[in-house]
Amino acid sequence: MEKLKYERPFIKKLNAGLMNKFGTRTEYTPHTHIDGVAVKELVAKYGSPVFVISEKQIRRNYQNAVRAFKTRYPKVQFAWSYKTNYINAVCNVFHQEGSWAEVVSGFEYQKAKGNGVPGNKIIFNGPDKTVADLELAINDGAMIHIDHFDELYELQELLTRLNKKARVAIRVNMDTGIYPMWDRFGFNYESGQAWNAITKIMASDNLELTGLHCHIGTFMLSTAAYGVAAAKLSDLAMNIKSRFGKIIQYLDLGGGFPSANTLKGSYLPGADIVPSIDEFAEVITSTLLNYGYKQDELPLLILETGRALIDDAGYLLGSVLATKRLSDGRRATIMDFGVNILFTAFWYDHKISPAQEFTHHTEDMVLYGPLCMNIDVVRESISLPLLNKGDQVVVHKVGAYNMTQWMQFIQMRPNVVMIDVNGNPHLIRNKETIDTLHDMEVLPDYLKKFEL
Amino acid sequence: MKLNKNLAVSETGFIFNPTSGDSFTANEIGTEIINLMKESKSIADIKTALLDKYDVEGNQLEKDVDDFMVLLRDNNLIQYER
Amino acid sequence: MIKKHNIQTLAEGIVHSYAQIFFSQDKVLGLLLMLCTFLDPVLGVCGLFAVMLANLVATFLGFDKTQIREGIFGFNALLLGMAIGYDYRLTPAFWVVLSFAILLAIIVQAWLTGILSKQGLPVVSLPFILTAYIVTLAIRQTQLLEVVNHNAYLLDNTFFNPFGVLDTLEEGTKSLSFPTMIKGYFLSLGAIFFQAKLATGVLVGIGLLYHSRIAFSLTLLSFCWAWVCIDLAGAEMHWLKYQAGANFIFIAIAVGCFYIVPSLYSYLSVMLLVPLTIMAHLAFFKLFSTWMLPVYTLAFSFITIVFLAMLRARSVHQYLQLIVIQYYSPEKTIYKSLSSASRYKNNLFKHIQLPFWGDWFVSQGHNGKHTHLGDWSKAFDFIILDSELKQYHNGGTEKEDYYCYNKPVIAPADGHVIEVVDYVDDNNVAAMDMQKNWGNSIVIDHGDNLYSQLSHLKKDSLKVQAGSYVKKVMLLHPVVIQVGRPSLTFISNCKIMQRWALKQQTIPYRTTC
Repeated sequence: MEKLKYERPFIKKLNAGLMNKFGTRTEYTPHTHIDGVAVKELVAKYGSPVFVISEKQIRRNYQNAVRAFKTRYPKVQFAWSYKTNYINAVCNVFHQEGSWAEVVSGFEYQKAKGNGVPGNKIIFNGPDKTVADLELAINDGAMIHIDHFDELYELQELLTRLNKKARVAIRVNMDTGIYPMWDRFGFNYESGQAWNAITKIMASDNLELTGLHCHIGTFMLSTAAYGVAAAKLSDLAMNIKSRFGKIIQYLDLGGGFPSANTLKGSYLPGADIVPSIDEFAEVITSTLLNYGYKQDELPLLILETGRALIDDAGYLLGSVLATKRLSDGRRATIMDFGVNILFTAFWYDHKISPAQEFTHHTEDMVLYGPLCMNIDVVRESISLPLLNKGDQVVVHKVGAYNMTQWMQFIQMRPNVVMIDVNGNPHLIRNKETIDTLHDMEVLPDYLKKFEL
Repeated sequence: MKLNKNLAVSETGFIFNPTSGDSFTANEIGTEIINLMKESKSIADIKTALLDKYDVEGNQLEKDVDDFMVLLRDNNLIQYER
Repeated sequence: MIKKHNIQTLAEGIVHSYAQIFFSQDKVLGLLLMLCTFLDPVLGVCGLFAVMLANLVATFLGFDKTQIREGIFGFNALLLGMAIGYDYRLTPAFWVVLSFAILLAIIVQAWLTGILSKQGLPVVSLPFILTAYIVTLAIRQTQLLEVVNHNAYLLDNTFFNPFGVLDTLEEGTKSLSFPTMIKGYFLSLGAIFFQAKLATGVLVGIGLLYHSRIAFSLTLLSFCWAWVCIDLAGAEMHWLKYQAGANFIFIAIAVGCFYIVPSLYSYLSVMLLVPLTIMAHLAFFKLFSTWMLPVYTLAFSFITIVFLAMLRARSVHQYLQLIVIQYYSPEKTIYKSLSSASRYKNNLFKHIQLPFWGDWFVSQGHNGKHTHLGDWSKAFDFIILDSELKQYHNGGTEKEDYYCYNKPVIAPADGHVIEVVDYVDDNNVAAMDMQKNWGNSIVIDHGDNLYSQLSHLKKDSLKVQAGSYVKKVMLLHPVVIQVGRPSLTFISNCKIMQRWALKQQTIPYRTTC
């Protein structure tokens, strides 16, 4: 006799009246394919957990963003923020679409150069620029965005020594009406510190002030702040023009556009409350266009968008290691990915879908990762259908920051796969092995022997 | 363990406990187990019956049925006998 | 106080005065012609004296140094000097009379130039002719000067033997043997300088050939054609070929390659004008014979001036192109004209920019079959599409879902805003406003009878007023949409027109990106 398909026995109390505020079917559709490639196939070939990136989605996001801005403003340039995801294959997709590179450290700079980005299309931000980094940047003609006075003095000294000139901008922080104000980066606008830095640069022989930069926050939920930022930068630019006669070539508004992830503690899901890129574009471009620039002196608008372009192009496929029932009756499911590779679990309630068909019975459960640490919680509370050991799940919108902030802790980092526009998967980063670890370590001789 | 004898069980998996007034929903297998318990079958027998009927591994079934028992107790559907 | 610079100017002015007879600035030709005048020493001296005096007086009186250096004041004086020197004996009285005649010539030249140059017309040899008439008529009533008799006159001295020239010709043919027509041509060349010698004519011809092959060929062609025409007209007019020869030669250069860019059409014009010149000459000859005044090159001057006036009065300038910059060399003129036509042909068009930023698609173009029909056929409808070629996102049920809603529209070229409509309500999707089917629009006047109209704009979002001046690429409006047809919701429309009212006829135009 043919055995029937098995499902775990299940009973649930019916509560009259109190409905789930989101309705009943938000996260329950199974996600069996990504860009036409079966999840089960990817897991079978590349193991579990595995990061999967959709190149088609990246390109679609980028083209959308470009269109939102270019139809509103004559000169626009995007620069890919390497710290969001610096895997070379991902960066090169952006470069192929026409994006420059934005880096915040020496190694990111080298990565950008290694990918083939010309020096004068690399934006070098950040408070940590060593002398060697600066020298490299100067020789390549990169756009150096100065963060603090110590850097300014160091740069000037270096340029005098090398007998060269550099094209620079300053990062400006300002009160844009949001909290917290990031005043640790750059020069402050309201206190006059920024103007001070500008006068120093204008007075210097070997520095040429080509632009102004600001990056007012991250995951911004209000577009008005950008309007304020654009206006304050424009104010500086106008003053520079009237005082020094110098025309500022570009305004770099930085990044900070949000993706549709739901922040922890947010009442509504992210997709409902996050403003679209068009709304940001509208505020920024209308501020600039109406500010009073002469038509041929409109500055180039540079954007260092990261998260908004890649978050929803990244997926994490994982498998269930075990299920448990906790002492207070809650179901707990243990996955093979945790905060070690999903750092953004600290910030978001990621949408997680089962990767196979299931019944309509769902259960409220907590998702844990594989680590032996109490903080390793992926989701405090999520309603998912009954999962068994070996079932796959798909975590959505993980493209930003996970593949740069992941830890090599307890578990080694997994494969990263990118599916191209034709639906073919490509391995773009190998998973780590024990050799990866051992290659780094140096064991002093006196410790090689022991007796137990 | 004894199941509360007054439980009303429908074919579709709707279960009503007249003592407490609570209503529940169960899936097919859950309903089947409850029906088997109403017939005063022992746990071991239930497990064997299910193993024969369904395509499942012994360990998995063991774990799931034990877990189901805990659920039933949490929902006040069974009483422990001392 | 005469500086070296002034001396050089004077010297150049003298040489160029000779060259100006053939509409040239070529110094070699000028010197050669000067030499030719001295083949008859009397005429040579008179001519040189006249030129030098004219240039000095003009400089003293303060005329434009450039014109003096180009010989413009000198060449009429040269002709006058030779004409008077031809008629009268060189007595002291003669020189006095000649000097005053030169003064008169300059006055007349300045006066005539003042009148004619306002019409864009040249004076050619009118100053010489007019002054010569006044002097001749005046002197005849006095005993001041002694008239000289010439046996053979090539020019228009009417009360001497007009057929005398044939005698000379017969003498000439005995020594050389080439066609009579060609001999007649060279004799005419010589006659310009009041000389009956073939040798003079040949030298002048060589100089002319050296200066310009185009000019030489034109004069030869013109003279031969005139010869043929006169032959066809009747045997009794033979004398005309010699008397009027200079006219045909000058008109060939003036119309064929000096005031007009040389081309097939200019050559054709010369051919057509030759019979007219013949008629004019006959007419003037009859008219002035009453007072026994020689006609000189009056026919040429008259025909040239009226022909050029006619060309300027055209409203469509085709076939014959009047010269803008005078290079004094037909070859250079042709070269410059052809090269600037190929270099600057695009400058005829205004640079029109597409009225938006970023990439848009044309949803309906010229002669589109939905709404671009008839008078309004040469228009463009623009929309934005995403990478999946959709016009909207989020379902497309609200007008805000469409990509082209609320996007900036910029001016396609510099101009004045002349009409603005800003009060039409925005449509919802699939609604059609058939009455105000242009929606909100702006009409801009770009000058030169070129207008553009931008339609289907968002209500109440205009950034310019009627009357304001817009520069190319200036922000005008956020766009919007409206409907012409259900299938074409959300378009922005741009038309180029020739008259300015809304809904006027459209014309095709090119845009630069």
